[in-house]
Amino acid sequence: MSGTSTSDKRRMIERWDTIFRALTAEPRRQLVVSLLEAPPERELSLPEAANPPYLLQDPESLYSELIHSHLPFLEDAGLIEWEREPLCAKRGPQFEEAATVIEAIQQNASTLPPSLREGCQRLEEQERRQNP
Amino acid sequence: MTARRDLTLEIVDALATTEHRAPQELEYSLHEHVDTDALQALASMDRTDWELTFHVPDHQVTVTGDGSIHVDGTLVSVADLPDRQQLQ
Repeated sequence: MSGTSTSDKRRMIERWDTIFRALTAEPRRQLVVSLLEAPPERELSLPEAANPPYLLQDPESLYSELIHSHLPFLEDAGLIEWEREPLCAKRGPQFEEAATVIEAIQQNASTLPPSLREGCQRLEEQERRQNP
Repeated sequence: MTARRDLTLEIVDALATTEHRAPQELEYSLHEHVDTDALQALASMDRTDWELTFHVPDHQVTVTGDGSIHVDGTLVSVADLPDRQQLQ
């Protein structure tokens, strides 16, 4: 516990706040998962990579939502970099922070309460892998 | 597919309507001018006695708790806010 200054601790807490805020919408979580499953330098096409397969959104609405809300939030948090023409995204400098949180959740899918797991294809697949 | 469109998109559409352009043709991102997560949070409140005014390039936008979207003082559209529909 020694050696960590108060300002370092504040920065750490701010990062957690930023990560949770950045991941506060399903298309944002889906995009982080898609980037996590792709090779590190790969640029992914949008809106496809942000559209949750178990509850597909209208691509045209999602396209606008991504540009006007989701992508800037993820970029501000340092999690992604994106371009508008054509719309695509790749991992940002702090991608690892969000990726680790998502991975930790996926690795513990079988211990999550059903209300957080059932209907979520990503987590149900993980759960089946953990309890074959 | 979600049947109800979110407030952010309704505002984008209202701005596009005002500029006689397609929504995809707006060059900026709404997030550069207003916290779109805050907009969503306001839109989902039970209370309707709120009003938010912000500026985007060339326009002033005012959104009220009943879903009305004014651009430069003119009512352009009325968004279908989630809780309002549930109450009806």
